[in-house]
Amino acid sequence: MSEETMAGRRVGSPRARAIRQTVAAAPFLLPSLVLFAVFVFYPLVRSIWLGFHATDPFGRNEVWVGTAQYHDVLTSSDFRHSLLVSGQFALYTVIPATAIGLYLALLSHRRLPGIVIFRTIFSSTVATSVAVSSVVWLLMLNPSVGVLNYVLGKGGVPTESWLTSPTWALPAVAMTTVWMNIGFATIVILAGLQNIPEELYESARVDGAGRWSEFLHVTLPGLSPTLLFVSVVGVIFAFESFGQIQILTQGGPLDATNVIVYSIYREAFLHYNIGLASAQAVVLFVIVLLLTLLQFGVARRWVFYQ
Amino acid sequence: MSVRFDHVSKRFGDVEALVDFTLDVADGEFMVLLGPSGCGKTTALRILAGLEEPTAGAVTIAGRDVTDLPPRQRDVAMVFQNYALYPHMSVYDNIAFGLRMRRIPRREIDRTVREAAATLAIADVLARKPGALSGGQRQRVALARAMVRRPRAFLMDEPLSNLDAKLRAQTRVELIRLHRQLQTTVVYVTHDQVEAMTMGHRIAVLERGRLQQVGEPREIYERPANLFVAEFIGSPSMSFFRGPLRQTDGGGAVVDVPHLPFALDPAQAAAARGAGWAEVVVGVRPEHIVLAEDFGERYAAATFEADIDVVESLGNELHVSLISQGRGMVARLPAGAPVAAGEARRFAVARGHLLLFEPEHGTRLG
Ligand SMILES: Nc1ncnc2c1ncn2[C@@H]1O[C@H](COP(=O)(O)OP(=O)(O)O)[C@@H](O)[C@H]1O
Ligand SMILES: [Mg+2]
Repeated sequence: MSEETMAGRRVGSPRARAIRQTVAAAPFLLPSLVLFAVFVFYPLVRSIWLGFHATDPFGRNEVWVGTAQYHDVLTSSDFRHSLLVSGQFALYTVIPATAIGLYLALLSHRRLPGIVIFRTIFSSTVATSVAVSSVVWLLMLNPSVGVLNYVLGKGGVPTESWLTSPTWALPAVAMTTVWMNIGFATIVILAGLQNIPEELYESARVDGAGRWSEFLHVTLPGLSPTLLFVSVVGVIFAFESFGQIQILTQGGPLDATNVIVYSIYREAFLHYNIGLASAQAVVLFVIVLLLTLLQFGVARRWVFYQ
Repeated sequence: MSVRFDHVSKRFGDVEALVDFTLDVADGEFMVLLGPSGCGKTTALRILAGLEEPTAGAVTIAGRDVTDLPPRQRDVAMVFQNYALYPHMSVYDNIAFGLRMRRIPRREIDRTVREAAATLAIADVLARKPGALSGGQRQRVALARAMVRRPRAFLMDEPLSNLDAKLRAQTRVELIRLHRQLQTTVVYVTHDQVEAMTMGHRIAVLERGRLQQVGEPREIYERPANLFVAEFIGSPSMSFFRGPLRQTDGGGAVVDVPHLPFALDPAQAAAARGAGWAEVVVGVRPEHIVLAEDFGERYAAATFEADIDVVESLGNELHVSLISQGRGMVARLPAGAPVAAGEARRFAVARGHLLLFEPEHGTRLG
C-alpha cells in the first residue's frame, strides 16, 4: 500500500504507526527493561568505566588511568594463561556435553512405554545447582574415599588424585561441568527433535535410507540450529564458569584451572584490584561477544533454519 | 509390478482403520483408493509402503510377500500429501536422494535427475531449496523424486490436495500423461471423486475401513454396489426415495413413495419380486430428472410437481434444487432451461435409470 492511500484513509505514516506501536509496547517491556538495566546494563557500563580508572580496594577514589589497565590485561602472561585455560575448558565441556546430550536425546526420543521416565532422568541435571553438584563431585573425586578411584582401582586402572594433579584437575572439573550441562543439552535437543517432521523420516526410509542415512540426512540437518544453540550457550557457560572452580580447585593447582572468571574474582576480591578486574571483565565480554558472532557467522553458511 | 492386499486389517487401539481389505492391482494399472476422510486410505497406502505394520493379512508386490520387509527393501516410491521434501537440500539433491541411497553411479544419477527435471519442467529450479518454490513446483519435485527411482509402484497420498483448483486440473492431466509414458503401477489415494473418475483405471471405494466396491469408473458410477457408493459418487449427489414395493396388474411393480410412485421396468420388477424385498430405496441421478414438458410421459418412471428452490448456473449446465412434498432433490438441467427460483414446475424421472437398493443393508438390486 502506498503512503498516499494510507494518508487518504487517515491511517497515518508508517513512522507514526511505528511510534504508536512502540508506545503501546512500552508498559509490557518495562518490567524486563528495569531488571536488565539494574542487573546487566548498569554493571556493564560501570565495569567499562572502572576499567579506565584505578581505585582504592573499596572501588572508591577513582583516578582516570586511560587504557593503561586494558593494556596491562592484554599483555599480561597470567591473563593469557587464563584465556588458554578457559578455551581448553570450553573445548573439554562443549563437545562432550553436546554429543552426550544428542545421544541421550536420540535414545529417549523414541515412542516407548515409560520413556518419559528416562527423559526425566536424562534432563534432571538441569535442576541441580552448580554448588550441589560440585560438592557431590568433590566427594566422588576424592582420592582416598571417592567412588571414582574405588571403581578404577577395582578395574585395575591406576588411580589419581584428580583435583590436585596439574594434568588432571582441568579435565576433572570439565567432566563435572559436562555432567551438569548434559540435562540442558538433552532437553533442548529433544525439543529440536520434535520439530523434525515424521514424514521426512518416512520419505527417507521409502527412498532407501537406513538408520545411519536417516540420521545423517534428516536428523542432523534438522537439528543444526539446535546444535548451534546448544554449543553457543555451552561456550558462554564455559567462559562464565565459576562455582565449580571455586568449590573443587580454587583455580589451582599451579593455576591449572584458573579460568578467566576465577582470575577476575581473585583480582577483585583477593587482591582488591577492582579496576584491573573490571578491565579483565570487559575483555571477557568482548571475547564472548566475538565468539558468539563468529558462531552465528558460521551458522549462516552451514546451519539450516526452516 | 502387480500389488496385492490379502485380507489386510489394521487396528489403532479401538479404531479399526482397515478391515479385511483385499485388493489386486495389476501390473501397470492406475488404481485409485477413494473414500471420505478417515476411511483408511492412507493406512492402506502406508501398509503397502511398509511404514505401518498390518494387524493381520499380507501384502505382496510382484508376487512376493513383502509384509515383513522394511520400506527400503520394497522398492516402491511414495509421494506424500505434504510432499515431505528435505528442506535443507537443493531440488537436485532431493531428486537424487533415492538414487544415492541405492549407490547408483554419479553420472547416471546426474543424467536421470536432469531428464526427470526436464520432463516435469523444473530444470530451472534445480539449485533452489524447496522453501523457495511454489506449491506446484514442490509437487513436481516430489513427483520427480519418485519417478527417478523407477520403482515397482508409485504410491501417492492425495498429491494434488495442496494445489489450487486450476493447477490441480492441469496436474491431473500431466499425471495421466506421465503414467501413460512410464507404465508403472500406481496406487493413488484421494477423497476427490473427480480425480478418481478421471485418472483411475479402476477405483476402490472405501468406507470406515471396509472395501465397498472395486471397478472401472463408469461401472462405479452407473452400477454402484450399495447406497454408500451411490451417494458418495456423483456431484451433485443422487436423490433417494424410500417406499414399499407393490405389485401391479400385468406383472409390473411400483415403489409406492407417497405422492411420488415410481413405476419399475418389467425386468427390474421381476428382480425385485425375486429378491422378496418389502421396501425399496430408489436412487435417481440429477441428470435423470428432467422438465416434464420436454419429455414423453411414457418414457417417465415418475412425474411430479416441484417447487424450484435454488438454481445454480455452472455456465454449461444448471444444478436445480427442488422441493416436492417436503422432499428435497437435485436436477441437472442444460444451460438455458426455462427455470427460475420460486416457480413450480412439473418434472419427470427418466425410465430405465432407476437404481434400487435394499433399505437395511443398502445393497443394490441386480
Ligand atoms: N497412527 C494412528 N494412531 C491412531 N489412529 C490412527 C492412526 N493413523 C490413522 N488412525 C485412524 O485410522 C483411521 C483411518 O485413518 P487414515 O488411513 O489416515 O484415513 P484417510 O487417509 O482415509 O483419511 C482414522 O480413524 C484415523 O483416525
Ligand atoms: Mg489420508
